[in-house]
Amino acid sequence: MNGQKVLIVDDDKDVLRGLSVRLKANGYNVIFAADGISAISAARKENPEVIILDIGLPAGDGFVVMERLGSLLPIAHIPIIILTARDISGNKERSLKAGAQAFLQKPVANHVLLETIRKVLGNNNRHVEEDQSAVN
Amino acid sequence: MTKGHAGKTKTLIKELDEPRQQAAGMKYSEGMAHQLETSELRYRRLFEAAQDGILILDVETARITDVNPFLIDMLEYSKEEFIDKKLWDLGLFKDTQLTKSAFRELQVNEYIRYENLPLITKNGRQIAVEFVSNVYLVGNKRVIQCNIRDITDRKRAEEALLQNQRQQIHIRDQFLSRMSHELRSPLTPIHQFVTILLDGLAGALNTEQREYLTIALNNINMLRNMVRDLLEVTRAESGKLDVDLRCVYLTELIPQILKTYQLTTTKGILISACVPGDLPPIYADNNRVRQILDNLLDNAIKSSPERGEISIRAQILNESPEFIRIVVTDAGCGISLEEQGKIFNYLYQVEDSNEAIRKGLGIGLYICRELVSSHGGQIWVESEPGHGSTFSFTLPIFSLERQLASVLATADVTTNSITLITVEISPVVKRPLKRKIDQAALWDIWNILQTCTSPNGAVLLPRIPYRRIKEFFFMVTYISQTDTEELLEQLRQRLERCQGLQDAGLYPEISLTMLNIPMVHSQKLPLKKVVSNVTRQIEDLMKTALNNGGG
Repeated sequence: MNGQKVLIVDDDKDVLRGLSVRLKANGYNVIFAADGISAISAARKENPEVIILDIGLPAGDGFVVMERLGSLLPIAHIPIIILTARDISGNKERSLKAGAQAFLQKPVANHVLLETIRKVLGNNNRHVEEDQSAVN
Repeated sequence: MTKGHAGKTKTLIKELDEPRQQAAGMKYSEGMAHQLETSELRYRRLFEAAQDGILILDVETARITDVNPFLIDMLEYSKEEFIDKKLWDLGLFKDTQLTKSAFRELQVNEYIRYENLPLITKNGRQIAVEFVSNVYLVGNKRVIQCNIRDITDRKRAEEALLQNQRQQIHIRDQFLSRMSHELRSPLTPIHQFVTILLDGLAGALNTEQREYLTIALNNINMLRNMVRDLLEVTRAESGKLDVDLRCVYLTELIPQILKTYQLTTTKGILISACVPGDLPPIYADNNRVRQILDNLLDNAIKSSPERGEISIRAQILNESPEFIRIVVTDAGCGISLEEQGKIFNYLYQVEDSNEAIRKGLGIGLYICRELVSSHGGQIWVESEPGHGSTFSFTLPIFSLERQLASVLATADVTTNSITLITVEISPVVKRPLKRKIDQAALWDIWNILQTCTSPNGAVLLPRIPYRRIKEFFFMVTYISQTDTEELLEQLRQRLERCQGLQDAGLYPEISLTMLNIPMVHSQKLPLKKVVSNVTRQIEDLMKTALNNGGG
């Protein structure tokens, strides 16, 4: 797992903490942002390998963030995983159209989250399905 | 209404029917003449007092010969303005041509009826009317009587009611959507930290701590499923349960689902599955099938005793081989015959069967039923109290014809070909023939194809394992021509990035074939013929590919 850098964007401090513990335990290097603007500046400064992005955010929601990131050439390629408590219906399609690689609904099963990250990083051969049913 | 009145009305109706009977060819006798005079007088009274508008027209000329006071009020023209005008000269109707042709139809058929016809009154007011016209013979002259009932208020009330209902549903949907979001939000860190503790990420746990946390996690899972169902139920009611149908292998899906359950099941319950390896793929929504099985398994676990056994079986349905039947059997408390008929109903809960059984919202099985039927299948239960329950549901087997039919039915008029994309997986170096290709790598490719095909109107066909030499494997997909370039590029990139393939010593080869669609529109070929033609082309190509691969 050699410390690949993951940017987590979520305005819920508890969720950030939980994700951070889980991802660090799996060998990732974790950085945070709690709103849209700092998400974009963190992505530019830190150049993470993957971004886990919430939709409901202050100062520019997930869709605004994706649009901005997509227009910034040096970081436009960074894969984005949407992780939100919002409805799948409507939001999933919209997210994938906006350029997200995967859409996950909270609370997400840990193995699904980890495998999705591995999948978008392209360094694991295990199957990942966009699983919305299993919590653990 | 008094008795006398009722009698009078009856006579009137009878007499009013007489001209019609004459029209039907009844003999007109002397004795009836007097009767008719009386009835005309009565008719006149009815005409004047009617609470519906009545218009009398000349059959040949469409000129208005009489109009009752009620209609004068309704349409705001004076009697003088009505009389001797042609029906369409008043400006009552929006479309004069249409009115004229309707009048010709009336002349021929002697009857015409409009449930809801818009009219414009003299003062420009728009009203909706029920407009019924009949041709009658009066004396020896044919006339048209139009009965016109103002239904504007009724329509308005109906629309207001409908609008109100729509608004209420919208408000409820929004409320539920927001509420489930609000419930999921705190559920997320609860789930995160309970699993962090359970996985020992914050230090080792003793047996008792682990047990308590497992109980907490089970309840978190249940709560989460309930939140999901809450939102689904409103969608089920308004028929908005969306299903994303694909080619799905139960041989792979069911073991995955079981894996999830084996992690969290308490009570020492044993869940086993029996899915024949050669079971054909179904045409279903992966996540929805999982949701159905989740619901059935949750119920089975709830009703099972400690160390009870639950089994899942899948097989082709004998009675109707286009379907696969999936069966979940438990050795739990069972369901009485009376309740078997009700458990799939909305908000139904089994009456206090057992204290230990936790009741759900009473919507799980209802949602199952709705989901199964949106796949075109059926769900039912067989059970005997004390002897467990067997839930069965059916899902359609993937069919190339059906798939093509749905794509070709919506195909662009100008489309005259579709593209078949073949991905052939071969080993980089020839290895001993007996060794199978790494299953995980194949599943990876299958997934990449799945994600690439969905938004483009492309469909993934069942993959074909090459049987003679096991190291060849085909997957076929077809799409409409327009997005081919984009899709191919996407496919190439993803397959290149797929580390699993390289690790397994495999390389993918993508090839394209154009398939002609016998012009649906120019030649007016029925869709069925077009579909069978294209199906044959694809099947031939698959066969050829297989033969070449084997050579």
